[in-house]
Amino acid sequence: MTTLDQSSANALEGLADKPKSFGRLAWERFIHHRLAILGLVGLILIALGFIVGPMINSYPFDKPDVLSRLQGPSREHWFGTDEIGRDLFVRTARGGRYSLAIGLLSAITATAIGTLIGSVAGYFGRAVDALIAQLINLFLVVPALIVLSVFALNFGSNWWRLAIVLAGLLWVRIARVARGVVLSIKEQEYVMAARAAGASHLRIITRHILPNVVGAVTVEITLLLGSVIVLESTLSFLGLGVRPPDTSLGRLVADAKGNIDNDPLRVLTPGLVIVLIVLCVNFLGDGLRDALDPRARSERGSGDD
Amino acid sequence: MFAYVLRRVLATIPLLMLTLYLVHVGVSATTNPLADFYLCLPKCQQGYDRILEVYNLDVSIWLRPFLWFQDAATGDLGFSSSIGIPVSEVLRVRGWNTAMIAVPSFIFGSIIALLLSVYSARRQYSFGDYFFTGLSFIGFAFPSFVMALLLQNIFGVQFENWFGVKPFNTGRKTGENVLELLRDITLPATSLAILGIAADSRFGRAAMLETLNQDYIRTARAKGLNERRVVWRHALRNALIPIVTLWALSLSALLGGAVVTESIFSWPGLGPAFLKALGEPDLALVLGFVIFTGVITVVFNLIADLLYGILDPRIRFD
Repeated sequence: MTTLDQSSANALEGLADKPKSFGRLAWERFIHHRLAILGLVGLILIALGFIVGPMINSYPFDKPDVLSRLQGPSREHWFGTDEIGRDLFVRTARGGRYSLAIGLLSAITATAIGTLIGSVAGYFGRAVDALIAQLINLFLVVPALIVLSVFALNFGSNWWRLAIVLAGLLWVRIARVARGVVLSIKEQEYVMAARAAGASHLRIITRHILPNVVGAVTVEITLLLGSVIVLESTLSFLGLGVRPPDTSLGRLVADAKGNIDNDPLRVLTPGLVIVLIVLCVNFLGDGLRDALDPRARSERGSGDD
Repeated sequence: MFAYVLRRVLATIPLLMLTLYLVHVGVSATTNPLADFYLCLPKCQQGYDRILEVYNLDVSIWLRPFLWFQDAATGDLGFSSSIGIPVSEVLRVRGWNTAMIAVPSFIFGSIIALLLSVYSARRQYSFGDYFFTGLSFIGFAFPSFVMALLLQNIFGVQFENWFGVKPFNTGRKTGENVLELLRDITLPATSLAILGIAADSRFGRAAMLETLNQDYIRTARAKGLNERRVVWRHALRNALIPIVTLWALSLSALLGGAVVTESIFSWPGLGPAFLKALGEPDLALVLGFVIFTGVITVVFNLIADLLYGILDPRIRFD
């Protein structure tokens, strides 16, 4: 008898609790995702290393120092030096900062363009949608690396222009996701109710539709960030990305590749830095997907739907 | 269905043309084939005029692509100035070389990825699942050039230092003998296959998990069907539907020349030819390459769509 009272009292207490907001639930799911936290911490540590490291171990990234050329890793030169004596740690840090900066700028730009165009297409439908859907198809047919090489070579002369070129091709991925979400949401009853109540298009889009798009798009940003960093390093590796004397992780690999038979470590360090960054970004994206879009979870089994 | 195919093909033509137009304008705007002639101008007027005519330089840059379209419509893709033979010939010869590494790597990669997905999905959260999923996560983070350089260095170079034998070649060295050919293609094909497996097996695992949780799988098990039939006939066939699209995309990307991997292994495929054309720049070959990869992508996507209909008879083409 008492136990029954106890449990019903507990249940009532549970009801009295304030319901948790979506943001709070998502945050709780995110911080219990061990890999996502690992990815986030890893990214922060890498970024800090790139910023603070060169202050401790400070060498100019572009001044040759012929007396100390082609050294192995040592206390003075953490990653060794290249053919003309430039410190490779400082160069790796600088390249890594460019990779991160290009990745972030281009992912943000692509997201802004993609969300806007995708939402407009999904919301207004008909001719606008047909036109934009065709445009999205066009970009998906285009072989990304090929077209990027042409445009990066001709227009991507510094880091932010390169980022814009990348964003100019990659926004379609975001647009496709945003369009899909909007298409399904605008049929929901509450959107119709808002329209019946006389809400303007702007109000419906900003108040009712965009908040629903944010979750799906946030997940897509991290996935995009990973592929932008890979694409940028590939372009730089081919000599089409960041121009010398500046450097990026891909270019560092390309610089070291001629001497790979004798000194594989010099290729491996910037190469593995890229892998590490992308790995952290992907872990983060996985955690965000589980947190923000619990229906799309592939991990915890979908037996309950 | 024929009408469906026709409509799809017709819809992609304007898209492809727009891409070609942009590439054409983009490349011509930043290069000047006449640059070499300005210094010697009075003496080499003849050469100057010839270049002017070959590249249609007297026509506005915005109209020049249409002259190319006109030629391309008659099957004439022009002459590759960087390689010195007609573009269609370059595409044929180099495309064949690319297929030699792309097709084996696709076949082996897909089979392994499929087996891994079925294994991981059936034993979700087992040690094996965690192990393979972790590996594919790491493999997925590798840019192709890091993977290629790593494999090339370990198996092509260091292996010889450690064991004194050289099992694989790091590029195209010899010709006719099948064994020699196998030795040449192993490393580039493997490096492409690993990247493919990493991407496909994560996707395949998710697709397989989703179908294994469906009601009809429970029904199949409940009526006493043996597990092998449930997994391979009922579950896999349905899981294949999304996977087939991925296959179409990855095979067309591979056939379009794995630009980076091929150049690292100095494989005489489409990739290095494209990079060379881009560096010169050899406009005719760049355009030929874009149209080649575009057509391949469209065709394979179409094949994937038609395969949908075979795998899932509910899908109608209309």
